[in-house]
Amino acid sequence: MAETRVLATPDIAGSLWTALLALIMLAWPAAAQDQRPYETPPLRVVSAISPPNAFLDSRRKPAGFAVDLILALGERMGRGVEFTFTANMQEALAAIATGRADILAGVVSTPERARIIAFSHPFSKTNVVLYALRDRAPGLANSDFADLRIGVRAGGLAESTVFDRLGVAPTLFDTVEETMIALNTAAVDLVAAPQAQWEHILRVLGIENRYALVGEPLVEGALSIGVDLRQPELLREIDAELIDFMGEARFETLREKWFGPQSFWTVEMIGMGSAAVIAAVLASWLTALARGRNRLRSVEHRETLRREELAHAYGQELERKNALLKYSNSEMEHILFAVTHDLKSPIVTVRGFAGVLEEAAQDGDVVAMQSASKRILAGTEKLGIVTDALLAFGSFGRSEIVVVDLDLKPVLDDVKTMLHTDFIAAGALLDVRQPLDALRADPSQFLRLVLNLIGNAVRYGCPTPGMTIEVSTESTNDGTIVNVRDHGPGVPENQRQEVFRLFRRYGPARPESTGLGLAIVQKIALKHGGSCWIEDGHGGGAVFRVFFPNQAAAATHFAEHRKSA
Amino acid sequence: MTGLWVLLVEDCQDHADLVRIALASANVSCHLSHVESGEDALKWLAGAGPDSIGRLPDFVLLDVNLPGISGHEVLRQLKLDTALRKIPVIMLTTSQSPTDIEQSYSAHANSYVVKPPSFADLKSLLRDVVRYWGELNVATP
Repeated sequence: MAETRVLATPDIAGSLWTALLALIMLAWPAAAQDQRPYETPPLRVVSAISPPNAFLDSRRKPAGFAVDLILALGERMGRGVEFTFTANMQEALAAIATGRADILAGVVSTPERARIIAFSHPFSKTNVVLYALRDRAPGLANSDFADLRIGVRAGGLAESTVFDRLGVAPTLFDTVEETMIALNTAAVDLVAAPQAQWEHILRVLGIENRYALVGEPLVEGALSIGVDLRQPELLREIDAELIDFMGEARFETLREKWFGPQSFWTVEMIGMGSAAVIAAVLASWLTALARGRNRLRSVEHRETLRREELAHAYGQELERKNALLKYSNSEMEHILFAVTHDLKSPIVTVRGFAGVLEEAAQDGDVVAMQSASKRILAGTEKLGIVTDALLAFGSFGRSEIVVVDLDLKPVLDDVKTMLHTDFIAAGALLDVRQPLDALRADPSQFLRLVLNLIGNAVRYGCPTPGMTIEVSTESTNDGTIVNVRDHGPGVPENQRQEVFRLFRRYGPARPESTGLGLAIVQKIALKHGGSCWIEDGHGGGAVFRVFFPNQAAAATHFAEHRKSA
Repeated sequence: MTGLWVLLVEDCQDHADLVRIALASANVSCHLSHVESGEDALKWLAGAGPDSIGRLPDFVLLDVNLPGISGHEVLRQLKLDTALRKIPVIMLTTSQSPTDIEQSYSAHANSYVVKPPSFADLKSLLRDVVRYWGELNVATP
């Protein structure tokens, strides 16, 4: 059976469809037989309902080009023929595989089928083509098929063709008629089907103009009789008779009957079941027409809204990227500044004291030589530190951030542990003001940010033992602000932006300071679409504040922040 | 006190020492006072410095990149102060940035010199600077 079934039929079609299924049930398993007294057992032929090659006529008798052909072959072979119809091709193949039938009426060779049946000499040609509703066909011709829903009859040549040629998994239906209904009701964009089959159905229904071919045929194949692989003798016999028969005038007569201009295959000849199907197809088409206008309006409206939402989202993303680009440029300026100043400064030291060393050597002043050597060593160390810091800053946070809901408490516990010795050395205390609001941030980057802020507060904001660093949060309409407050000397107003720049320090130079800490804080805040700034602490000290926007506000806030900056 | 008095505003102790050693090595006779920040420089010039000698320095050697108040800000404040503006200010820095140069002269720096990497050049530079700003230049009375 088919793996996936998507059937979108209007209610009226549903009831007719039920009637059809009931009729098919009546047709199975009692085989329709061409009653003739032969001594040998009859050829057991199975077929999916597949007009005009094999179907049940209005008297529920087997009919169709392949049916007539097999009856003629049976006659030549002196054997009766017993037809059984199945709902789909896979059931027909299963009947062969389980020994309930010997022959498949009309079939195109596919690798899947070749595992069960052998194929006779071909007796007819068939193309697999793509059909769309006529008004949509021109727009679909150059589409990427991967984006389209393509309906096929399950187990047919079209299914494997669509998969092989277009690399698309088609939507499967049990019958040709169901694929047609799906196309009418826009459950699929395209239908892949054998051209002759579809053209005949459309001609009978008189709705040829409703559909149009899309692109070139996907495959041009040949129709054969499928014979159970385990019966090679039967295949040879059928082949011999078929080739002979095809050389006779009767074969041409048959072909005329089914495919000629005066085709025998008319609405009257199609069985009651098939008539019900046709009614369902027509009903689905009419219903689709009636609903079409309203649906189109609704679809257009939804599409407009969707496009607006997308445009808004893309706009926000573009703003964020632009702001990030601007920040990167300004970051590059900072790095250039750092290279010119912070690398040049130790170079001046090293080369200067190399000159001093040279003079001291000439004078034989060992003490001066030793002093100069120490300065040179210290200078080269400084060069190393600055170079490493530059590399660290450049590479820090290069990866995209992954924002999650964060609880601050465990982060603060980690930071306290990591800065334990610094707190001891400064005699400082950490005071976490409850309650702490949750915020959205990348966990590892947020840890680094808090570590840098509190580390900075311990080093520069706690000059005498017993001082406290307070951490608190504030919830705003569009995010959360994290505050780290110290009671140290504070930061003068004209330095409050400067200190976030690379290698800019305020306060006494400390050997362990790289001048990176607050620059990284700013980098992290900006990457989250947030911002950071410094305020006066009431009663002295500085409050370092970092704003983390909630998701919706991130892009906008980031852009605004960068504009104002 | 007689003789030249120079105020050096330099946050890097190594560079300050290099200046001191270079002046001595070049046999330039002057009194060098050194402060490490812009804030200290302004305090010093306001007469609050620990080794203030009761008169203004003959000129100031001022670094641009200082922690806290930058060299530019020190220069700006100094040139706004009617009592201090006549002191020649020579920017002495590693920066060759056009922005720094432009900003310095806009704020009425008297000269802008880049710290040379070689000790011999530093000696020669300081000898020339002291000779010009301390001896040849006729200062405002």
